[in-house]
Amino acid sequence: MKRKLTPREWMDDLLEYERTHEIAFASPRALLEARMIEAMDKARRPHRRAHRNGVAHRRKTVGR
Amino acid sequence: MRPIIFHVEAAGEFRPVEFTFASESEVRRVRSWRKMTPATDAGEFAALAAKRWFYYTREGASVASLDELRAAIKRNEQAELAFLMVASAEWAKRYKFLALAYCRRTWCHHLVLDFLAVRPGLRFSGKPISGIGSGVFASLADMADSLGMETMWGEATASSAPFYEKILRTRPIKDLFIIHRDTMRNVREYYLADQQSRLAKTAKPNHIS
Repeated sequence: MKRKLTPREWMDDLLEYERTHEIAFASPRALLEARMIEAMDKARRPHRRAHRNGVAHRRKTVGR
Repeated sequence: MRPIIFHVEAAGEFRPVEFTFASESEVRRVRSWRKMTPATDAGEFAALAAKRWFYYTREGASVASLDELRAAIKRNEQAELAFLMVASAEWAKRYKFLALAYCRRTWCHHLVLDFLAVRPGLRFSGKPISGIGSGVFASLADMADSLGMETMWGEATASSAPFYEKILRTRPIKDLFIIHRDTMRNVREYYLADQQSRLAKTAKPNHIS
């Protein structure tokens, strides 16, 4: 029978795991939903960045 | 509300970390992880978790404190609510946030863990900081238990299953983990027992032999 880990052994094992692996987990469904929200936001965003914040329109210079 | 505190190992010492509900301005800062840690899963998940939080906020379905969560449940017992929890530490100010967990309270008062991410490359005094993921998970289990939630669950993937197997001391974990109150308490008890022994060791004065 496998011996039960003590709290110390359990945490040592977890600490070792955290030292050697990236802890970045996402539920696939949550990830899909978040990506859809992101895509929706991008589609909704107006494409007029160049005209924002009082940025002057570029005009063709007239040759003299 | 007092923040939840857990301890992590940093530069050979045991140091406290605060775990709290994120406010709107904090969620904005979480979003910037993607720029600070590009090409990492944690960076992408942080940005997407923040996106999702703002979406739920526009729908009036997010909360930014434990009091707000309790009040929202009081108003509507079947409310579906989202919240983002962040871990931070005074001694590691340069990072602002060390980790995040995006959770949902479902209509039947269960806790769902959707995103769990520790900021990659965390270091203190030139050494890695470890134990944040375990601290976040144990704190969530404790919070779910104290809120009277019968179940905490989440979807697991090939990369997250080994972590859940270790922290829950059960295997195999496939594509779903479901924990009930007895397991929440077991995790918390084990976690506290270990923290107490490590803290006692840290506090013990050095003896000259």
